[in-house]
Amino acid sequence: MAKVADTQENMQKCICGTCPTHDQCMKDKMQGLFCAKGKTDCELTKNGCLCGACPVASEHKLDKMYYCEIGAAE
Amino acid sequence: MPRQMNWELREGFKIKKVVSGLELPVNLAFVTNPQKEKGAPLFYVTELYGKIKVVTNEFKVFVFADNLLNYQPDFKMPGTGESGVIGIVVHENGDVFASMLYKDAKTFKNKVVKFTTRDGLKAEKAETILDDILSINAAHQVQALTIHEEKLYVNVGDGMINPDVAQDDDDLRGKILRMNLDGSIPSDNPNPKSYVYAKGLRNPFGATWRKSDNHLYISDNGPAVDDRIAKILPGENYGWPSSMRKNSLFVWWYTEAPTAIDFAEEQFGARHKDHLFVALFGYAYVEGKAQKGKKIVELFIDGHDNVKYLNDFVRYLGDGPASVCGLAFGPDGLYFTDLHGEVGFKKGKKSDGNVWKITKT
Repeated sequence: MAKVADTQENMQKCICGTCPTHDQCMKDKMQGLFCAKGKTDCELTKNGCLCGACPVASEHKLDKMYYCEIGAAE
Repeated sequence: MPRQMNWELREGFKIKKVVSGLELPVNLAFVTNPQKEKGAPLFYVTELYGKIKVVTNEFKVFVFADNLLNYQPDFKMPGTGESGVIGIVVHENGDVFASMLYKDAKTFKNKVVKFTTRDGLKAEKAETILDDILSINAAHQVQALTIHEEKLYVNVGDGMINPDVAQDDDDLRGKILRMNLDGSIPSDNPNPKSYVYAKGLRNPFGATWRKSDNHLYISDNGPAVDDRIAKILPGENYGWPSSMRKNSLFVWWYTEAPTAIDFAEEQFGARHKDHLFVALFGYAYVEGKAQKGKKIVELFIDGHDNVKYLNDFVRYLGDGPASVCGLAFGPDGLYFTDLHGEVGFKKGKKSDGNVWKITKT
């Protein structure tokens, strides 16, 4: 079961959109909140990760990076 | 703890705003031999998006150097707006050194620039003494600068994208570098052909020298966990990317984003002397209270490198995006910057960052 709820409140706190790895494909598909929604289906190029700086991550005590790659936090 | 303006601080101390109207003020560096004249320089402050300001003994502000970035910053925080002009240190002869990002074709790189000046109020010559170190236009760039015994020490982040470079002895990212003041490699470096003084670091924002043991201490930001304080020894490996705990003195499990650090001398009396004060910035931009950061904490490190967390020394309680970023002890107290100030650019206004001073009552 996902640890982070896929809610509008979390989406508003999510900072995926400002991450260097959040590319045009993800923007076109309006993807984000990967720690709740699961990994991206876009081709991923790692350009750095901001998960550790995200309020959603700290509120849920997440300790991993690149949820866009590894999928929803469990 | 008593509240003064929008800050809560320890009993027995007072806080005063000494400079306002700065644009994203990051780090502070005091002159080592301050002159008594009112108009003489007291300290310098980096502004993230391309300026260095100088503040005089009477707290008048002058532009020391500007137009330092060759690209347009985008104000995205967290993200690509977190980079720019960050580290600063002043040599006893008045030369000012600053670390910053620059764009080379489509690539962002790190460099260190030495500014020379006659009156201390305006840079007259700028000389790049270190450059061509790959970076990213986000956090993890070149950061704190310190000078000790005529050598310049440079904190360089790992560049975020490929953390393995922190273990690569041929790559200057994820390292503490040691260099002569003209940019050459000292013959007594751990490897006399390399700038590398220590390796295995991730995002080492802060650095300071401790007079009582003659060692360099740094703050280093972990990924989602494990921010740390470390004592830097020549040739040592601090573990990143496999570990943020190797050779660390103190670790915050959930990250608080430690930025600048400094040891107290006589400013707060014997009870606080030689204690380490650490700025915990927290999130890159949050208005009002935040789950982490927005404060300065006080640590004590004993002779066996045991660290005791003494207290939250000062904490921001206002509604603005202010947080503590730069920090340094001056002759008469602890000075710090609040980066965004209490308005912040996300409200559609120009940044209005401040410098605050804490003294004993």
